[in-house]
Amino acid sequence: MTLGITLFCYWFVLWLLKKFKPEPSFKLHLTLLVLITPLVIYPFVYSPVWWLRGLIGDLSITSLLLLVSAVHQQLFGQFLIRDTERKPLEIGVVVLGLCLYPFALGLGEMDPYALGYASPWLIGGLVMIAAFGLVRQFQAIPLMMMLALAAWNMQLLQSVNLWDYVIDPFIFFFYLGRLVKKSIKSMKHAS
Amino acid sequence: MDSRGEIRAIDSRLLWFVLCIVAGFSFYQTTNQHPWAPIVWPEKFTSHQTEPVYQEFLIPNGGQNSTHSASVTTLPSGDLIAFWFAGTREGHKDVRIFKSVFHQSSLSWDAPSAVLDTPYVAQHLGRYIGKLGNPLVFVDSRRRMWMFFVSVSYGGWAGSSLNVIWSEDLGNSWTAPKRLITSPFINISTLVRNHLYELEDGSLILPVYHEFVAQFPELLRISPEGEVIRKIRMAGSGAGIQPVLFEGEQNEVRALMRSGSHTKDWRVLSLRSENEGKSWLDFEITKLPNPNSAQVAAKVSDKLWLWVGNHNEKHRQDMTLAVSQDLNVDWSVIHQFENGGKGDRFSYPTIIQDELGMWNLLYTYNRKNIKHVRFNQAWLNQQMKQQGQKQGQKQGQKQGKVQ
Repeated sequence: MTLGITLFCYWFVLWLLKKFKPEPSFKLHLTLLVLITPLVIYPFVYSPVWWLRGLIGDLSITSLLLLVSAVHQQLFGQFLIRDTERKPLEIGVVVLGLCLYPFALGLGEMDPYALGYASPWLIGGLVMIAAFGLVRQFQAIPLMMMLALAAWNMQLLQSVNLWDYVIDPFIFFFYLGRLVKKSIKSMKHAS
Repeated sequence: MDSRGEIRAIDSRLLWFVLCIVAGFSFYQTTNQHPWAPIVWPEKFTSHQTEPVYQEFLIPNGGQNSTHSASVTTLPSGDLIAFWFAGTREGHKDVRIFKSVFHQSSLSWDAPSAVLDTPYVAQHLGRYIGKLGNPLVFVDSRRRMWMFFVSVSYGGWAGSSLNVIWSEDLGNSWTAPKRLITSPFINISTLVRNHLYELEDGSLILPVYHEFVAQFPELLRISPEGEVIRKIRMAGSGAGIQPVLFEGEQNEVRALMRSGSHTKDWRVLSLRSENEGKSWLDFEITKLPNPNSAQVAAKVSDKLWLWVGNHNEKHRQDMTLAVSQDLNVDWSVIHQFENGGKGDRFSYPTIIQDELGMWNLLYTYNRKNIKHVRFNQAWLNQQMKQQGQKQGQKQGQKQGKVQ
């Protein structure tokens, strides 16, 4: 599935456009997207997607939804994720990533990635996160969990492991970087 | 849209309803899992020849400059089929995966032919591929021939991903390459080297290893449809790489590991499972030396196992055969297939017994060829007897000196 790379390219081009032309028209946005689509929609040999796929692979459903939100925000100026949900989402992704990546890469003898092969514990955990989000009247977090589980049921990505539908290293490092940056900023303010 | 430019809320009752449906389907998936099944070990054949037989062959290299990492299996006809990778040098873009068939009737290897190359794999996987390596072949009980191999897009072998192709006509035509997702970290660093086995339910158990950041051995369970359905970490970081699985004593599964670059003990590492490989006991360091190189082990009979590898801590200039009559004791060296000097390199052994009861050992010979050594049980017995006599003489001399 090249959707993640395609969405990223869309977002990047729209973001770049705003750097040169602060208030571009919707028509200009659309023209630009139509123009780059043939280059970023299918991994033709030597196309940008073909090169990038060698490195990136499939992005998780969480990343896909965040990219949809980012593209939507560039196009229409609307935030799909509410302010109140952004911080819990950031912390949630970082906590999940810290529970997964160090151990999957060899820290200790436990491999949490093995739980991704239809373990009721991981499924239960994700359902609990979604339910907790609904109780707190969140929308984006429960939707991400539900769509990740639904996509995993339908095997929409190349992977059969549930973790790959929930998180990927790109979104983990992106949010980890943001949290570290914010923490440093707040420490500076406090001092 | 509200005053802050945020999108309108979805009805929470609808979200609860969807969550219940999705949760129901997801938990239902957990009931479809394959229960663990016993490993189907290869049948042991008895050689009817009473005279020792020992033969050597060099498999033609097809004009390739560098040849490495052979894998071999038997065909239903009794012939052998071997795969390896070859090209200008290891890791070069022109490296291809070759195959050749050994005909038992004429005792000769075919001229090799290429099965896979980088552009073909890249085209079918829809991504840039920089290099190919480590083919691993297996014929299952339904006569489907599987070939696992690694591919790297960017960087060294630690950036490898695992791929699979299979053939319903014993290697004449193959499915398009399929990339297996085995790691959450951009799917890198799963490599294969040693023989896989079938479980009684038709799934496969594939020993693999991880090299990025930490080195450790793992097992992948592959469904008959070619999907990874389970992953087992055999041991944590430092437990070696390239696990070779073999049948131990009384339903035990044993694994020996190459020492890996993260160790200070240049010794073969050993692991043991008492439940058909589902979980593994802590690893032990054997007395077998290992210069961070591949090895192979196999069960010959209820009380005899053989091991082939580089029997030293520093180089790959030898290819040595050792045997064990009790896996809890130790291995005794009984023969050196190769004992070269500086500039010689013998590595990556693999071994299989054919239906005639002959043992077929293949290994990389100076990176120029794959060498095939064929021997029977009588030859093995002869080597063990000679070694026993030598040891007896040595002990006698020692006792004489003491007196």
